Amino acid sequence: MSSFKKVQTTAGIICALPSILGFFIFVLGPAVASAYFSFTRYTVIEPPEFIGFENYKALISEDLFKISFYNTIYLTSLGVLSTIFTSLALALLLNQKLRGISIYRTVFFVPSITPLVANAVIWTLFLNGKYGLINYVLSWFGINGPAWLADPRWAKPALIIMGIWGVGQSIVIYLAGLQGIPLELYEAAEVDGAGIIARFRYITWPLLSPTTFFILITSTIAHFQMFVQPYVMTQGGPADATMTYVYLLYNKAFGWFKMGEACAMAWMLFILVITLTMLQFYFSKKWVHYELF
Amino acid sequence: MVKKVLTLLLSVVFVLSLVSYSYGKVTIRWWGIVGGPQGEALKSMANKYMKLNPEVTIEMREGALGLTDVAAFLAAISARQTPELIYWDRFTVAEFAARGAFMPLDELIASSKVIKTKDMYAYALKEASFKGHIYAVPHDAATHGLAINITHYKEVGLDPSKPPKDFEEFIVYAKKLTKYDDKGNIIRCGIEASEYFNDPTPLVVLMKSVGADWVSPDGKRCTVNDPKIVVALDAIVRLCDALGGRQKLQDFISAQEVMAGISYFATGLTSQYYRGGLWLLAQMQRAKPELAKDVKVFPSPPMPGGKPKAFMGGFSFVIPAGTPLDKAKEAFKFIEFCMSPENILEYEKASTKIIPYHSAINLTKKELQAKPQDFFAPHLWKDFLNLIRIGTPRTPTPFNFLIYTELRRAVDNATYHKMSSKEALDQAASVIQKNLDEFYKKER
Repeated sequence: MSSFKKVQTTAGIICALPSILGFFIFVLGPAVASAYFSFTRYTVIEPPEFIGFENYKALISEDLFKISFYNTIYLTSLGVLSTIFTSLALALLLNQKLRGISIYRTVFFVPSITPLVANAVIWTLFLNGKYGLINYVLSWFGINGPAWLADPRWAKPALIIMGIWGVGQSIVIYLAGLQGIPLELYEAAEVDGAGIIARFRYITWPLLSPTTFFILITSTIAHFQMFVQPYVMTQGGPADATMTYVYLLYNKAFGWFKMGEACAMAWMLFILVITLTMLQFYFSKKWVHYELF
Repeated sequence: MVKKVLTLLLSVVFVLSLVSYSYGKVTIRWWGIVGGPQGEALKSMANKYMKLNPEVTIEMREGALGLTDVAAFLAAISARQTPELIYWDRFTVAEFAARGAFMPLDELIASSKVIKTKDMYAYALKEASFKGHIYAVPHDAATHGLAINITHYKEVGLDPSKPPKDFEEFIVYAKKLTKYDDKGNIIRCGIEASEYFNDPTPLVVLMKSVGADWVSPDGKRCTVNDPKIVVALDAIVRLCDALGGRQKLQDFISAQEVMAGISYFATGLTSQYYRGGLWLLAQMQRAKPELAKDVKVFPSPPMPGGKPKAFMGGFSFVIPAGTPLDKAKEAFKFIEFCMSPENILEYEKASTKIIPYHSAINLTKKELQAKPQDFFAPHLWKDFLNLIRIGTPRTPTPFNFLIYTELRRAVDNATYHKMSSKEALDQAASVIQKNLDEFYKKER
């Protein structure tokens, strides 16, 4: 190796070292530690005690764990669908050549960069059964809105509606995808007599499939990790209706001295998310089109 | 050469100046400073102490510890970076003490001329102790009783000098005092309804009134499904149903979210506060000062055949385990400073909380007599002070936070009619018992 290459290699290693060290100390280290703690009875205050798979067994038989799992699956499945549908619909609208379109784009993007806690506080007021904006708007149509966050039947849908507020980033990603579709394809389709629905069905949707796939994966992971909304808005209630998986994990770790079980929950979630992602990748071959021709 | 010598000399001077600056300095890291007027009163005491003792620096970290924000404390334990002093909610002292997180203070208290266990109210001492050791120095207490709105009582033909004698009568009064609009929505409620869903304290007050508790006397068996407690939860469910059901109450309560921590009672929107405390005074002072003249406080009505009890929560000083003894002694000196007569009165007036020591209460009573103008609503101060005689602690266990969570779930499940009271409490008991078994098995 020439001396110049040696210098370059050394410089490269030195520059990358903080990041590599950071990864080992702050990511991999805690991950390995949490894998070990998941097999222990651990309160943080006392030293961990190895108990094998007891935490995993206890969780599987626990009612609250099952409730939190059901709630999370409910919120994820409907939340991801609503994210994809809303962000695509809005991106299609924002892709029009209108005057001042950049202002509209900014308006829709801003909520996604607002801190989630601030959003949660605002939405607690919006969803207020008596004085909230949502029920006020519903009253224009003669609908007597529910007490949203206070009603076990409506608390989960309320969180999903709130989730739509933060689709700004998905809109931007869809917009980028839409602008990458060659215009000639639409022109050729128009010449062939394709209407607006046919153009969407045969051009836009297939060519946006990699974008949709990306949003599907990231949105699924984000919904599985829902924490701030129940923490700030409902504390898991009413009647456990918004007890999400990660909120329960937090309670176990920092409220009930069950860091071992919390670590086990984290690893179960990790395995679930990895499996789902792999399944999504497997099935993506059938509906995601990366190449035009 | 001269340059090198000069550099060396300057470095030595610099290091020496640093050493001499820090020599003799004491730093006490104090966590858990709560918000609001209570927090301001705590900060004021720390600032006064630093002024009187220039060699001491008290570094204060805000955030209520004991029920929330424990994550920071657990992280500090992991990193072996615990502070020297924490202001801690007495309710969860036992569960952290049981796991060795706090230093036993028996010896420091025994050698103190200011803080004496004999002087402490029994309920405060019980909450601060676990298995025969004292782990916390009780600092303040919030007395709880039934606050009533006199005008509302008169409006519906009730005699404000005769509060409900038991919970059954309380339900009747609550129904009478509740007003509905044409559509059947509650516009004024006979109870502070949020009490019944935010936490299970009314249930705890009721269980205490009939001598029931959440654990057996040895602490090893969970008794939240005791038949007496099932009857008490049934009574709470009947109260909710009598006023229109949980959904309707919830709808009324939900507007409270926009009231920035002020209870409905303090604004005159509800007629009775079942576990009202001195904090109501601070709220009234902020929201509707003229209301104070229209309020009277009584003991919260017990279950039929039971005795009234006033549940008394509050904060304490704790010193984390592992704190070096010299630092612990310095922190203890500051605790003693906080208990001086001057500081007691200043703290009580600013925070509208009392100091649960016999000498402090006598001092407060004398001050109230001598300078009533210094207190907001002195007649209510007297009412609340009278409740101390029936004060009761929330029994310390290694799982108080979990017990409260499970009881809250039980109240939710029963009032939403997802389960019967018995089923809801059986479910809670099974979760708590599992944890108790695990804890005591490990201890053996």
